[in-house]
Amino acid sequence: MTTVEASSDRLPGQRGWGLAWSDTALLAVLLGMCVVYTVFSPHFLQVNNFANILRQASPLFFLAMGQTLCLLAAGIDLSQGSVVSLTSVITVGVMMQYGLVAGTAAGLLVGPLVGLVNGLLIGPGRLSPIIVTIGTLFVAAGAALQYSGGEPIAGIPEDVLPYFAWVGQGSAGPVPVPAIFMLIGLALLHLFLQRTRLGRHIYAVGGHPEAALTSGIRVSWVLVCVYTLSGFLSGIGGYILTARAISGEPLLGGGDLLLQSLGSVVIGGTSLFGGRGGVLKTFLGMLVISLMVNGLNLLGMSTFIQQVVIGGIILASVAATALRGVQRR
Amino acid sequence: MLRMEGIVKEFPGVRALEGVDFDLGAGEVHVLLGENGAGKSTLIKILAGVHQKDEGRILLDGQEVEITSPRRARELGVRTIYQELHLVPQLSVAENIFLGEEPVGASRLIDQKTMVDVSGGLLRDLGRELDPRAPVEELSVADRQMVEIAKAIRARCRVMVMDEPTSSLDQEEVRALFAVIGRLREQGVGVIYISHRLEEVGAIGDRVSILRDGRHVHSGPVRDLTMEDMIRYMVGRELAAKFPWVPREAGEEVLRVEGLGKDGVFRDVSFSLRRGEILGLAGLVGAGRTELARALLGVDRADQGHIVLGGHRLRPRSPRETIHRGLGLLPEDRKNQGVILLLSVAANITLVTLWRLTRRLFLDRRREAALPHEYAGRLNIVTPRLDRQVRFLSGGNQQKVVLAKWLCSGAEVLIFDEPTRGIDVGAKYEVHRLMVELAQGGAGVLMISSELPEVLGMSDRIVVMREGRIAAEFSRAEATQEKILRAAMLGEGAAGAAAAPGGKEP
Repeated sequence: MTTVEASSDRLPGQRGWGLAWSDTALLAVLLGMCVVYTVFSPHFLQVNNFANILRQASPLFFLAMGQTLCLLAAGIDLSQGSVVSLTSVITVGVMMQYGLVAGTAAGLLVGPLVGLVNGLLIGPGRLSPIIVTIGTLFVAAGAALQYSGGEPIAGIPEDVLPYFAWVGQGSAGPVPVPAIFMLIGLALLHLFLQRTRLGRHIYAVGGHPEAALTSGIRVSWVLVCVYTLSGFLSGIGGYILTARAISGEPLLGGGDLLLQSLGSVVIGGTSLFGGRGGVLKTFLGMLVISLMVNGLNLLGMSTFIQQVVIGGIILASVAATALRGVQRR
Repeated sequence: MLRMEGIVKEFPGVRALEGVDFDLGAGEVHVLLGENGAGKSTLIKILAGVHQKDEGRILLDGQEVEITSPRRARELGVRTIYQELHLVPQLSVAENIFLGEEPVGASRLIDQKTMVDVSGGLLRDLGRELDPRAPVEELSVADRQMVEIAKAIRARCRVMVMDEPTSSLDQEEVRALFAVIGRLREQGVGVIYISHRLEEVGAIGDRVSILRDGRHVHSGPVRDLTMEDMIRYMVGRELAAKFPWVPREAGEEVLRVEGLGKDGVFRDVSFSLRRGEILGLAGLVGAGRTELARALLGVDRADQGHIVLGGHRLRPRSPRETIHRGLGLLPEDRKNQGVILLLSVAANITLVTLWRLTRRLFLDRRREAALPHEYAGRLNIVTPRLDRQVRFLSGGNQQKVVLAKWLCSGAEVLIFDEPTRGIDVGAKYEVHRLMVELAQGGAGVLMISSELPEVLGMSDRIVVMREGRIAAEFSRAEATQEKILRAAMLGEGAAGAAAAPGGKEP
């Protein structure tokens, strides 16, 4: 047992919490941003503002988590934004006719269904993740527009409205409800990736598919799970976002959401080529984007400038990982 | 224990196996020999569940079994250690050893401690102390192989297939691997051992089976066969001499290396190469030979010294420069650095020469078509059509494509880095013959090789590198396996360098 004992100190670069020195660098960036914003805006360093940041971050968080799973498995999910839109209109549409529970159930079923289609085509079907999810991107986006007639669906009955709105707008003490969902999700997903067999197999499938196959891992099945989960998580994000807007918006996920989700994962340092990274990294990456947007808003910067800054951060973080020789090509 | 009877496998257009029999006892090391394309890989892939047999039976302990998938093969205790190791680089040693069969507690969570403890124990039993928590990507190839073996043992493997396990190990590591195979034998594991290194067969094997063109041609105890016998069975013909070396007149100097050095890699390397000469560069893996070759071409930059190439004194800065002065490199990692797998044979051959085939802005299609024809014919490249992608060619033919590329570019100094690694005996002979032809045609050949017989058989003169420096130089007449090994491992025998004719600078 001496070897085991002697090696109990973690080596650098080892997965444990899934964090390494590059993550410390991200933390430093986060702190640096906080300092700058605090200096330039009196509104930044306030409990309310932070509650607001976490509330706004929550939908993006769920998308970024799903995206992390896909990238770890050496894939990508481009249909996330459309899943958000479709979830939004179905949730509200069904809710208006059949009530809160039915609306929630129907809405949350949209994501896994789209994800399942993705997974079946990518896993057993062996098609390219990019092509498949571009396909479902269009299908889901079109379905959302068709279902809603292209207009927002409003008019949730008064008796259910408070419960539904609570999901997006409520607070438990100073802590926003979406933030609670987010933290629970983070803990569960971290445990899932690090400590369950399926989680481990996602790393294996992304890191060396052939090794996974010859180790008896059902690679196709793992991929089906990954994309179904990604769809499900995107659906949760869409549901929370809808609960904040309290109307079914066919274009809810049409904006920057998908790209911010990808950006969070990349800034966090999860490899685009699979097998390397984790949800804690993505969480940090997502915080960078969320804080950046919040701070720039407080400083009165236009959303156009925000896009430039986010793009710059993505390039800088990719360059940083490339300098370490990990993510080149 | 294991018995395969009358195995037939057909691929579209090819009959890969035509009724092959094979058997393996517990605690036996059974060597499987054959040229590339003889059907070895197909046979073991059927055993591993990667391919399905078309006809025949597989019996395990007298019971007929169907191996329908890699998963099924594992359940039956059949494990394969592939040449390209099947480990997930980002995961730890322990995670890889348990991959696909992670122990879970009542909570459905993975039991890390058991994984680490058991993995450490397994590796210690193999005589290798490794940190089970270290990521596999930080390990050497030899250690990764140990992890694969530990992984197989943990899964109570009964039949272990090793596909060219020594192809990227140095001699020390090979010895360690053989010790481990010895232990497997004691534990009653049956080992199917595939290798192109005939000298290993006698060292490790109990029995040998030889395949040729999808047929089984010989089985028997290893001690009853000489290496000549094995080669004869494999190629079905007597090779006149193992190496086609003939005496040649060395001409003027085409390359002189003067005190070349690169920090931490090699230093103070000086030698010269003359027209018509084959200079062998021997040494252990890691002695800096490949790095030297890369620096000569200018892929990596040297820090000190110069080379004299094509009458110019320079320190190589880019391959573009050295190639134009007549240098060509046939790299060790052929598939990644030598050829562009997705391009056609013809496009690969003219790759370096394109600038000469360009008229104004566009490629002269007629000349681009004619050149590959000429060289493919001269080098006897076996391919149905010249527009076929290079990835479909055998290793030997790919090597010829690389050679054709350099001949086409008019290279006068050719560096062969491990020219015959991983290619079969027949193709090996042909590559050697081409080397001699090149030298006869006035080229200077620098041959890096880790195979002593090849170094001794092919070189006119031999330089031995050890830990980044030139340790010794021998003429063909005075070189022996023992002398080269001593110089490579201990640095002794350097006195021979001064006495060698045509030797290096004082």
